[in-house]
Amino acid sequence: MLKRMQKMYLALFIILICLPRFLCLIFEKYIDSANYENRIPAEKPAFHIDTFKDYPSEYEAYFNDNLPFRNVLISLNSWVNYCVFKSSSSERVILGKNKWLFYGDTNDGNSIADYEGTNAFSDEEIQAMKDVCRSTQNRLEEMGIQLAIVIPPNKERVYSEYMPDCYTFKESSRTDLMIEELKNEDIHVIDLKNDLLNRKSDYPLYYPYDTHWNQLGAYVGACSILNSWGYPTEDLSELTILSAAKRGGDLANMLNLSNLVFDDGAEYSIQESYSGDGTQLSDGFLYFKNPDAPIAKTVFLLGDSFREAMKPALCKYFSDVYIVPRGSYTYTMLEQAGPDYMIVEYVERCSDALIGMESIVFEK
Amino acid sequence: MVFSSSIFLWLFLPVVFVLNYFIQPKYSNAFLLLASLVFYAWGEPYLVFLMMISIVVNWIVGKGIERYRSFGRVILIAGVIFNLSILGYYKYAAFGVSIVNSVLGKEVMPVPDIALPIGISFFTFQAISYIADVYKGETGAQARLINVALYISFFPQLIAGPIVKYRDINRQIENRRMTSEGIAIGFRRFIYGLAKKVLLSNVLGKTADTLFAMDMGTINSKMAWCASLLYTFQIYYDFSGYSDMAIGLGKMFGFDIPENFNYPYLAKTVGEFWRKWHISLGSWFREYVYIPLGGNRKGSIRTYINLGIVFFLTGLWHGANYTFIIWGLYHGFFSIIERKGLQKILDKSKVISHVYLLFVVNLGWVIFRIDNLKDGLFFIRKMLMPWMYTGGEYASLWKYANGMTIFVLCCSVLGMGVIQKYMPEKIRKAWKFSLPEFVYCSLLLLACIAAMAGNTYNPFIYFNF
Repeated sequence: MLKRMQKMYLALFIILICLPRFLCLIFEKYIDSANYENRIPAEKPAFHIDTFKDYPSEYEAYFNDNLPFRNVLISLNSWVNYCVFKSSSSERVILGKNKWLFYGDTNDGNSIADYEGTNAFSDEEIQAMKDVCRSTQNRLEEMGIQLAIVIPPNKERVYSEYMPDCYTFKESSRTDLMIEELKNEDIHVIDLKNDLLNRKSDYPLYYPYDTHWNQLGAYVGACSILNSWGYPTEDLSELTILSAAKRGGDLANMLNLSNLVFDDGAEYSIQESYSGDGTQLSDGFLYFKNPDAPIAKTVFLLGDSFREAMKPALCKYFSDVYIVPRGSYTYTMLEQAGPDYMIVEYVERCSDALIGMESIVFEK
Repeated sequence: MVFSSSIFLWLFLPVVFVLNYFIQPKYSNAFLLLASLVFYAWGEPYLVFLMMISIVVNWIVGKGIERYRSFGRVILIAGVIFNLSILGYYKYAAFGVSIVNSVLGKEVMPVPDIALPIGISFFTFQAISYIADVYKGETGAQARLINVALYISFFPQLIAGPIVKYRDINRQIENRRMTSEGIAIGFRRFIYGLAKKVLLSNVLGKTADTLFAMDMGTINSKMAWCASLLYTFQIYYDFSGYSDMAIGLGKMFGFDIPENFNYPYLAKTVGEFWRKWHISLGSWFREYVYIPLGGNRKGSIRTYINLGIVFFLTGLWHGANYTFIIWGLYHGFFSIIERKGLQKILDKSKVISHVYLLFVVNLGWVIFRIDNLKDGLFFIRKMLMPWMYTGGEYASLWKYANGMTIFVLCCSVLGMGVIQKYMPEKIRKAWKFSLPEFVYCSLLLLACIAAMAGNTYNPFIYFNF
């Protein structure tokens, strides 16, 4: 090998293998080191003789979370996968048509199984859900609270035209069948799918780069709930819709491309919605007061992350709104709020969790 | 610790390399031994002591063989029994007990749950190679324990080979230099190995693993063929990539480790395949099992029996499961029928012999990969009788593969030796160690680093604080 080439390989070894950590320290302020992973990075472990067998894996986790130029490298890997090979760098993200992203994780519900109809509920499960829902509804009615069970459909089922052709769409999912069964038992469950499908050609209802519905989709959902209780609502066409630029989304974050490829999204809001900040009563438990609301009633919303976009719509119509994530909820909160209405929300891919609804709602 | 991990690439390797470069040569063996023990202990914090005990015992055995020549054979046998006992206990005890229980039809003893030490098959065979070579007089017993320890535990080839014979490396252990040329050549080789593992094998493995994990009933013939072809290339690039990295790292530290792969998928017979695939293992079995059994010097029948034994042991060496044994015997069968006349037929057509070899090897990998024989045979049946298993949507394969998979598969086919074989000699010589190749290697390394960083990315969809 020529001397010159020898020196070049040596330089490559020094620059890319020996020096990255030092280079990272030098260029620290120019490098993106933000946390896009929604988790706390692994801490540097202390070495103890008692737990030394765990030290290698813990140190390796810490090292991996603190790689030099980490975000740059991850983005580069994702960018090459996406732009050159039209592939997803994450097994949990499915690349759809027209730059849409969908959720392929099978450990957080299973949106694809819902989409393809490969995960039916058994008769025993349906019966158990009926029993739980009926019991919860009755117990709440005894407390003077009207229940509405809301199951926002997965984005994949609302925007199936953007799903890749390799997935076979089944018109009716297990959740659709379950909702029918619950309705037959006079359980107050709201079927949002058709309402959303009917409005999606007029308004964007879900984020293309996120798993969630946006405020417009949530508004359609909230109106369906209110209409079911006999309350009139304004159609979206009667309202002023605002849009602002929005980078990325949870799915784009999984590819670490929120700032590179998927930075051209939009956030929609309704000008006439309530925009107050509310009061934090405890961890995650929020209270909103809108004295100008047409419905002088109290509503309590217990749900997952899909609940957040419903806040403006509910606060527009109800004078008192309580919102809490399922993970932070306690029965004491319900007693404290003393609502007229309770909305229990489960996104479709987690609709099997409905079977535990009663114990969650009434757990003390 | 594996070579394709960030902690190896950006912490272990640069620290060990730089320190070894600057310390005095007389301390280099001790330092590399310490580094190798740390490397092994990183993945086996307790069983590193087992390896150390094995090293000490084998060193004593070697000295004993040399000192007490008249009892050399007995001491050698004792040493081999010791090594095989360790291997037998950790790797085969559970399998053996399950066989006994199965034969007797009841659980005579509970199947033990024994953790398999990483690389035990490799370092045990290296140890046996050392004491056998001392006995045969191929080399003298090493006086210094550190040198024997380094030979057995040297981190580049410790956990996945190549299996290096002591006589091939003893002079380098005692006297070597790290040179700029060696470092450059070694690093270049390391990059190619890393790219094979990270950019080819890992990508193909994602789809292959998904397909092999599916319920057997849902796989049609096309999916079965795709899975087997993907795995055929996955295992080649995984293993040969690791060998390249080992050879490259060895070169960087001043060692010349023998080659372990020589474009095996270009072979025309199974016999030739085994002279190109995992060369060090084939060489070990030839020297320490086949030849002592008589090789091909005792007539055809005895030759076939010896081949059968070697391939049985080759299969068994790979894993404690019937599937590995069947895989080994499957290769042994073809090896024997080639000797019996099939080779003469294959020699008539290069195309047919290449297709034959790839077909046989590909089917063999299915047996190797699958967890149980029944599923393996069902899988092969789907491959060989496509008209019976046409159900399922072919388009659904795109759920598990994508543009990257197809590109990598194409590169894999070209890289298995096709380019190397058909590229004109002039271009091949001009390319090697050229500036365009350097740019290509730099991009490969960057792509590997980006892919490895990508694998550390583990976002949660919701806040998980």
